Order: sequence, then structure tokens, then C-alpha cells
Amino acid sequence: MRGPPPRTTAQWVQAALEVERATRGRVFTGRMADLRDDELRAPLKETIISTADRTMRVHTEGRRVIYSPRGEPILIVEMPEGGNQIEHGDHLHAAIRPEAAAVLGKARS
Amino acid sequence: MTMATGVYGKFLLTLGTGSPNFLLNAGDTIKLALVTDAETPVFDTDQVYGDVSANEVLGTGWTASGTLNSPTFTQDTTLNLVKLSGANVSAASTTLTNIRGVVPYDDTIATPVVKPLICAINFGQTYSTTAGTLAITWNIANGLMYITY
Repeated sequence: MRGPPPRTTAQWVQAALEVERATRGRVFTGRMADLRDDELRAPLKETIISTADRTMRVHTEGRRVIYSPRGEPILIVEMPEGGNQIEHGDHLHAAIRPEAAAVLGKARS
Repeated sequence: MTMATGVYGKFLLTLGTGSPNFLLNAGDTIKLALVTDAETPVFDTDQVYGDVSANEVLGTGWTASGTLNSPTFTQDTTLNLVKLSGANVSAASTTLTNIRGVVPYDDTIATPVVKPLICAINFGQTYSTTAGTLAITWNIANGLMYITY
């Protein structure tokens, strides 16, 4: 962001909207059916949980809004488990990336 | 009750006994039962599709268990594992509610048991679709299920 730092509430809101447009509110030009497209992802957020004797950093769901070429908002919610839900108009899509089931047969030394 | 990830003991038993005879690379149809969180896999005793079907998620665009395309059971000598893998799932125009996991099973086998289970995979989160695409991307290294050695 260039120029003097914002001072009023209105300036702060305007600055925040500019950042939103510049970094997250991108226009999605891919195919909606391809849910594996990197554009249809949202970075996870982090929160810190503190107890009496320890502090833990945990991931929480990430949210991001992009726009279709028609200007329709597409809401992307990324789950800490690795999948995401994508909502646009009356449509809700699911992209799931599960971990495999495992049988660990190698002896540990 | 809650969904969990694991391999059914009865499936592992067949690796030694050969009964029922899974032919994962030779034409058996592997199907995917989507299940809700009400499904609690009992890995000791659950054996057939009928053990999980009461908690299966059905809906528009996915009226019965979907098929796992190109199922293969292969050995990876670099990672020292044997794995079941298949094509990623992409089903368009589905309306499905509360998908918490998936249970792959062999839809071809009818004797000595009908439609034996292979494993259960917990998605860790509930997903839904509304007139939308359901996409499942399997782990590129480990597939749906793997056994290390």
C-alpha cells in the first residue's frame, strides 16, 4: 500500500478493501468442475491455545472469496483435515483429500 | 459412535487364506460406500457391505455406491509398501449430505460372503454437496490403503 497511512475509520476500511482486492478477491478463470485447482484452495489459519503448562498452535479452517468472471462470489472453506467446501450461488461442492488406511508391518528398531 | 480409519481384519485374513478370493487386478469391481458419522467400523468382525449399508449416504447423482475406476493392488519397492489405489473420484451434479467417510468393498464377490469390505477411511470432517461436484483425491503415495513391510 502506497501513500500516507490511513488515519480515519473510513480510510482504514478503504485500505482493507484494497488489500482484499489485491490479494484475495481474485477472479477465478478456471473450470468450476476441477476442484483440484490450486485457485480453489484457502490457506488455513492458526490459533494459539494456552493452558497452565503449555501452549499449542492449532490450525483452523481457512476462508477465502474469489470471483467468477461474471462477478459472482465463490466462497472457499478449507478444512484442517485437508479437504474443502466450495460454495457459489445455489451450488455446494466438496473436494476431499483423505489419508489412506494403513497396516504398518515393518518392525521398529 | 464415530467413523474411524483402518483395515478390516477379515480382509487381512484373506491374504493368507485366499477365501474369499479378491482379484483386485483382474476384473473385480470395487465400489465406494460413502457413510455418515453414524458408522462405527468394527474392524474385528465387520466383513461385508451389509455391515455398513445402514449408514450409507445416498442422494442425487450418487444413488448407489460409486465405482472406484482403475483399481490396482501394487507393490512399491522404493517405499516398501503394497497399496490399493485407483482413479480419483469426480461426480458432478450431486446432492449428498453428511459424508464422513468411505468404505471400499468388492462388489463382484458373492461367495463365500457377499461384497466383502476392504477398509474404512475417515475424512475427519463432514462434507455435503448441493447440485455440486463431489471430488475425492486419493493420497498420491499411499492410495486408499497400504501395507508396509
